[in-house]
Amino acid sequence: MDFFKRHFTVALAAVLGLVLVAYLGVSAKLQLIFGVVAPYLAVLIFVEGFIYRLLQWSRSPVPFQIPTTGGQQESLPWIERNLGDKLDNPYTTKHVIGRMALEVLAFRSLFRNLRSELRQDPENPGGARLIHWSYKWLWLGAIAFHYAFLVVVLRHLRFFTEPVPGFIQLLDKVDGFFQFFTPVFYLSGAVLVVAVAYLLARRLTNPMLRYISLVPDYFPLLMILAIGISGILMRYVYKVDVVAIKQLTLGLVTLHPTVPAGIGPIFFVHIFLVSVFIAYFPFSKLMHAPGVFLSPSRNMATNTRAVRHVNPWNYPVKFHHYDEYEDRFREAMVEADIPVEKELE
Amino acid sequence: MAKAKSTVPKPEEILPGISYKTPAKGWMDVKPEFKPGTYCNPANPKWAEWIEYPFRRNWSVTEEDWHLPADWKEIILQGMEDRLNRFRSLKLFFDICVRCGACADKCHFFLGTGDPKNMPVLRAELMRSVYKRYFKPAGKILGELVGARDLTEEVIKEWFYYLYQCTECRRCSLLPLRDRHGRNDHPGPGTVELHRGKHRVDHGLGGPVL
Repeated sequence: MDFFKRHFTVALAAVLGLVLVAYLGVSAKLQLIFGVVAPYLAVLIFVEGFIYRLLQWSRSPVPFQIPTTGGQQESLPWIERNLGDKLDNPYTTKHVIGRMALEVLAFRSLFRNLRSELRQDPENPGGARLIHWSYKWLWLGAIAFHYAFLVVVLRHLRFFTEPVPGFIQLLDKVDGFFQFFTPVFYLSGAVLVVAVAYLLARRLTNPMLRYISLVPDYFPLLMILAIGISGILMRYVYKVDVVAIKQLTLGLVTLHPTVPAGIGPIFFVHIFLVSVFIAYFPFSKLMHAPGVFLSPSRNMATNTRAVRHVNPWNYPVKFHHYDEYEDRFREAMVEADIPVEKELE
Repeated sequence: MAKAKSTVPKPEEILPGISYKTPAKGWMDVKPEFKPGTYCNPANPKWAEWIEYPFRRNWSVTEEDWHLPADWKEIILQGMEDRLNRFRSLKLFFDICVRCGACADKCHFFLGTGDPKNMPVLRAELMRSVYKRYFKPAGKILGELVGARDLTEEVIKEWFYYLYQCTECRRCSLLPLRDRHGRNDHPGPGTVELHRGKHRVDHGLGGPVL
């Protein structure tokens, strides 16, 4: 089996295996394990792992001012900078925050994405021409996916609160705006699944991407897809007892866990996949969520010309001064008619 | 000079051969091929002496045996650990790259060679795979499945070949994580940090060995 097939198959098998484990577990009357123990364990691992990773990162210093910059840097007063320059090349903390906000909320840098392709060049039949064009699909897929995921997560809060706060009810109404059928159809669920499917399809069909993709790339995508599909099936196809589920989830947050009878197995598949996903989060690339904020290339101001930054562990550097240089090369310099500070004796 | 001209291919000879197709074998199994014009030669003892840099040995890139010191592996891994502890950028970007691939067609070395290992993401992965293997529990246990691989002489040769093909222009870093990824592939011998901190590329990770 080649590299790509091996990596994709292993990820797919892992996800299907998890589904099967939960399904068999429920058949064996292990509801308590999948409905109570797994979620608690997952949250515990998530919180500890998350903090551990943040501490790990923050233990390493940021010795240099290394923001990634586009646009005109703050310079002499007569060199103009528009708002775009200020946000791309921030000089003040305010603009650093603005840049980070654009990055986190609007995926600004992904919006610049281009696509390049070699095309036959009519003017040069023997060769090819490199063409770049704007390519927003990745941005669109990514932003649709992340926002849909956010809405889905927030919507789920109604299972963990009683009474359900107003903003969740409002979100529910907006999300269920398209009342195609009963139960109310949630737009976010559909967008989530379609966007994840696009991101997965992109990985599978683009040869270069397929070449670099590993199990840790496929696994989260397949997990989210499986979680989304199991949720949608649970809502629209295999109807489950929502009142009993809410009893279970409220029991979890109030630390009085109970497992009411009569909840369909698909719920346990869903909650088990979510638990594994949550536990997996801190040890995976999904940590790019907090990592964005810690990225030295994104959270620093470009003030290297105005402010002196000293490397905390710098060692004394032995400088090679011009006189030493000239001492070494004086003869050759004179010979080549290069002016020297001190003439030959 | 005349000699160099005869071995280095001309643009007309290279351009028709560029295509953005992937090799049949996985990237861990493809070994670099040292073609004239695609690698830098090791420093001449004379120049190293001038700037008071230690000169280790005479060796040639195209030779099979690079005469690495006996403890080269420890030197590299120690160097890597040292840099992980000194640069948050390195540690962070090793951990959070999502391999979205947006950086690929930003790299003019990728566009100009069509070699997938010149995509910033994969160039970073050349080092990241070793990081995962020796510094991450998942890599120690699951190995290749999570993209981890052993540090071998072949890997060193690959680093030498590809990391020095990066000019650290950081164009890839204008993209999201990616380039933070830009930062990610710098951690090679030619890390920007290493660059600034140590003044010379060969004093970077590969420095003590190569």
